[in-house]
Amino acid sequence: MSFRQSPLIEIETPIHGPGVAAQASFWIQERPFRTHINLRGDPADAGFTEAVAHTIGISLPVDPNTCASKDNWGACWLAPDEWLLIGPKDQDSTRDLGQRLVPLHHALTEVSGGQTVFRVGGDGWRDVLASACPLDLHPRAFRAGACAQTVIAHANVVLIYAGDDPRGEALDIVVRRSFADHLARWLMDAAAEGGFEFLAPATSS
Amino acid sequence: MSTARRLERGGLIDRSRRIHFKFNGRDYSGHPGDTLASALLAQGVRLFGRSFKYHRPRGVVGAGAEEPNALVQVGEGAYRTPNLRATQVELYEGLTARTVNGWPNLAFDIGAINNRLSRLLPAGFYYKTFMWPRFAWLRYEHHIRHAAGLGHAPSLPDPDHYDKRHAHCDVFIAGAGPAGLVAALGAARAGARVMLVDEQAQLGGSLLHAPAAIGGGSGPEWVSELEAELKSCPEVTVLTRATVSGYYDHNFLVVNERRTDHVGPGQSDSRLSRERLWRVRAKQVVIATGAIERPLVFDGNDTPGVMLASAVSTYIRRYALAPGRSGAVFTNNDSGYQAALDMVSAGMDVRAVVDAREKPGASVLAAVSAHGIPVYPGSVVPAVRSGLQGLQQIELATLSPGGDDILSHKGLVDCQVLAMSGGWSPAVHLHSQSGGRPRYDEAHACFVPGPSVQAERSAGACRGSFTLSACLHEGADAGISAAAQSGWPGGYVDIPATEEIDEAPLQALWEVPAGTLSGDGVKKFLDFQNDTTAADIRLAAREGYRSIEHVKRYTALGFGTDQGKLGNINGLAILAGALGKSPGEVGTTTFRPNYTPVTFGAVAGRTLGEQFFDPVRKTAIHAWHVRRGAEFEDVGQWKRPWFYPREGEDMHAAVNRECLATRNGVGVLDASTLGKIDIRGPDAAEFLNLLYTNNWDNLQPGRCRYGFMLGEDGMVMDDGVTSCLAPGHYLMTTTTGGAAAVMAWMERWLQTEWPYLKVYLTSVTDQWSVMSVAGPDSRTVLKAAGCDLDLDTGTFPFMSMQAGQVGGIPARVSRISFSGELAFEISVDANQGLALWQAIMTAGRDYDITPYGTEAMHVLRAEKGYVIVGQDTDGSVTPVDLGMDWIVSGKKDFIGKRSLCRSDTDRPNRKQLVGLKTEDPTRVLPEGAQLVNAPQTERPVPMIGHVSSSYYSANLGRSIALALVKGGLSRMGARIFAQLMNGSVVPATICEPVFLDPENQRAKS
Repeated sequence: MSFRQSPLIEIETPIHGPGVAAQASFWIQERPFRTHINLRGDPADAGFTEAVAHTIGISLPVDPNTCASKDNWGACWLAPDEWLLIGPKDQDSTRDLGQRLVPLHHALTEVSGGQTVFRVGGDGWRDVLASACPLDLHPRAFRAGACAQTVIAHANVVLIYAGDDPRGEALDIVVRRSFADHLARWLMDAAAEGGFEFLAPATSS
Repeated sequence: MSTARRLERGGLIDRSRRIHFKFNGRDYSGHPGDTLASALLAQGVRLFGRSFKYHRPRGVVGAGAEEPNALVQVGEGAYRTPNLRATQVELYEGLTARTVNGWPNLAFDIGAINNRLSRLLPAGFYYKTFMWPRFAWLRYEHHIRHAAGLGHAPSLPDPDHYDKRHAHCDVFIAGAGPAGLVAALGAARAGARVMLVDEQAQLGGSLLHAPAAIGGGSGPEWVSELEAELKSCPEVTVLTRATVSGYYDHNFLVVNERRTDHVGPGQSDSRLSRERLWRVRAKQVVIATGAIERPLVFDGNDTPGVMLASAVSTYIRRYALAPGRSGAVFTNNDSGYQAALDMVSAGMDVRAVVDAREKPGASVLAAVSAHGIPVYPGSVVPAVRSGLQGLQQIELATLSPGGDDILSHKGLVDCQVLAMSGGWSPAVHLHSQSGGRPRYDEAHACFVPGPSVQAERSAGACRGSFTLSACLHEGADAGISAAAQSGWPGGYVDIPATEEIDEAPLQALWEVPAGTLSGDGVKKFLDFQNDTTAADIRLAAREGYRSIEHVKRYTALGFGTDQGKLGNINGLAILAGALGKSPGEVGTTTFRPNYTPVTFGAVAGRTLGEQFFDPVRKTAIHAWHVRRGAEFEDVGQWKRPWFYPREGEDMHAAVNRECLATRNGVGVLDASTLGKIDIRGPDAAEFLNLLYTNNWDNLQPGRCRYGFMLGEDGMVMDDGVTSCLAPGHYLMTTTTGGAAAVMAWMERWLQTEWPYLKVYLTSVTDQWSVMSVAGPDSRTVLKAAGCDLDLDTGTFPFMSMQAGQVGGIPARVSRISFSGELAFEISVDANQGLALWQAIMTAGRDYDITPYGTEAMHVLRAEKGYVIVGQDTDGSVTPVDLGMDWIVSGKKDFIGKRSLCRSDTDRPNRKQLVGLKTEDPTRVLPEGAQLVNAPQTERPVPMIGHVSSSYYSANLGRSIALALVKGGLSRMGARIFAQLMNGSVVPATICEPVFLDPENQRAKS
């Protein structure tokens, strides 16, 4: 097996970037090499939803901009017939799901190499994102169970509220590989005033 | 020297500290809490600038954003900011400021000759005079603009940085005066998300200088209490030094926050942005922007020392300075009397209160009379006398009942300050920007907000309610109801007790007749910044102008950086008088963003420079290219290696080397940036048939096919190779720059025209790292890299693809070629792209494998006559024009098919793609060069086409070019000429566009 390379090859972490009051009110950490699947199909077809539920244990969310998770897998609603599944580095589930879907009109497309996840948190994460993301991320508007497709600094992203991080409230930003370096640099620049920690990648799944 | 002075006590300045600054090269000092204007006034400075057109000396008129005269440029070098209002510039240690007008200097201004020539400079003078002869205008304009001044933008790069914030709130409140403060409190107590924004450094608005007690204490004390409560609410955002500069559709507001200007350049932490542009989306908006006092329109009303009455009060009460030794008031309403009382409190000798009304308000009359100040009812100041330091005397006269004539002259009164009040203009700017149409209020002689168009309401003085208690009640109601309408009921405010006086009504007075002091050059100014006078407006009316919008443009009324905050209402009322209409019938000009000027830095934010102007997209192999010393080319947002120069090589040497290596050995190209779309579903082939001009029914799994996509107009839109991965499963490639547009185009057709087609599209551009290994040695290198596929041409023919492994990495390998060489395109999961690239480079070391960039790729494909969509096509080229009618199926329908039968697309003599060989083989034509049949033809020379691609081909040992030439396909061998910009003419011969291997033996080998 040859080596894998995250899109952030040019950014050597950890980086300590103290703010004007020597604080760090924002942290960012890549969660590389997870399995990303773009899934399309008809949610009215019981065979389709059951295949997903059977393999990754999730009942696909049908409400716009919501997500569901179970164990290590998460499913984000992207469109009435489109979801993003993110899970562990586990080819078996993907293969199993693909086989179960064979008789149905569907599209299971692996995009694990095409995108990555930044997890961000800290007291100032909303301010940092507000520098370039037009979406309202206030707790009243964006909370546990929410996801959204939006832009940050001209890069398309999927935002997923991450309620399970032991460090506190956090957000997962799913970004396409080619924009990842740009977005990471933008976030560091936007966080310079309030200070930031760019942590080494989270290698466990 | 004037006799202005700082008061011993009072005001909101900190006398314990002194701040030193320079103005026009001289040293001054002030205190924390001062503005540049207040500090200079307190030290006797009266002259702040020269007017735009007549170069008349001008002093401070106002105390805030409305100031038209005291424009300064602050800072030096890269930090220089022109055209700031001195009334809003906060002092900091070491500040340097200059007036923006006045040449060669402020005291002696050559342009002042215009004042003497003013009868020759009526409204529209420049239009009327300098438009002939037309070509000379540019020269005239240069000199006129130099004379007109208005500061100089810095020529150095801006050393500061700027940022933006997106914000969302339930209730947005513009203005933190009494109405805005209670509105914020009411909404905050309901639990709503509130933003309260004020342009000043402190909250409070008029309460910072108003004398009225509120809630049993002073205004500033009450403001502090409210501010403390608001700042303790977690859902309240309070911004000071922040101007609501624009109000747009969907309750979207833009706020310009100045974060470091008040501490001076280079004084704050470099991580702090100088300005922050807030982009706010509000559910409900409360406009509480107050009102701006109107000047009175009389001869010499621009004399330094003539100020707005409210500004006089502000300078005395907030900035603790007496603007002169003696003063007088000229008013048409009760509010002006306050200035008389304030001047008394500042120890000034108040010589007269001149009231245009027959019956002043009883309360105010009693108050000023108690100080022994003479009040002149039914009287006006028709003219003034001035000296070097501004105002010296005012003329007194009684007014006829109609207000049109002077009845009798009552002599002169000595005074250094004249506080004028012509009533108040509610600041309806934001209401108007929101789409509302202000309505004329006859009783208060002002425009007030009309019906709301968006979710906004006005409260307080900006709604025409000028008493403090009305401001508080309206503010509370507005804040509470705005919160309730955004889903947060239950707000409450206890309105504090206030002292109110009974106000007598104002009497509209739009223009004062001229007095005995007036000579021939009567000038009653409306717009101080642009020197627009009452006479100019009447002249415009006489010349036939009727619309206020046209009169504005003809006379420049309201054209300045102040956007007519002071003068526009007076101007339109005078126009109304000249037209025999009411001001309401004439209406206002449109109030446009921005309320006050916004810097370009704030507009740009951090979206600047190499790094952030546009996202930089990188392939998985980018870091390797950088280490290899590649020069990069921007293709869309992508960085692609352009060429890889070796030590001492220039671009041509590097490209020649890369081309020769690829044709004769092996080269490798990072092709990851091409757009890739996964197409899946039982109707996928039918969909491809509709998108592409050629036929896709018979493409077997494992085979690849090149296709053209046309727009509905029949013109080539995109091209690329699509591979059949499995039945009902295809992978389409698009051009790098066209990827997103093609994806959107396909989705559009699927979703809107052919929803019955069972097809799913998924973008996989970023998923696959793609490298093209090309050249006679490519097969050997691929084997050496550990490819587990049988690469022989019998089992793996040209235009086919197979899945396998290369160096242990799962890969799709395709035999497709944009170079015309034997080539293998390898696609792997992008996480392993760099690993594969390095494996290929290692395997190819013995074959001197050469990475090549986009420039060599362009040369190699041009040698083969392969077009690049967007370079050899320009949206007006059909496949037939490219000589590729073989790719257009006649048996099926596809997008653009019918357009190919239009008379224009079907006609002969269209521009067609051909090759060009220059007669001098070393001469490389410039791309874009125009082609002519004969160089010496009489003008205009008929253009027959242009060069679309042109290179030196090291493989062919000569230059080659592709060109679009009228009827070119039938002119093989013809001699034509490229007419170059430098006048030279290069002869060339038309040839087939395929310069090398027309049988395609290499690619198929």
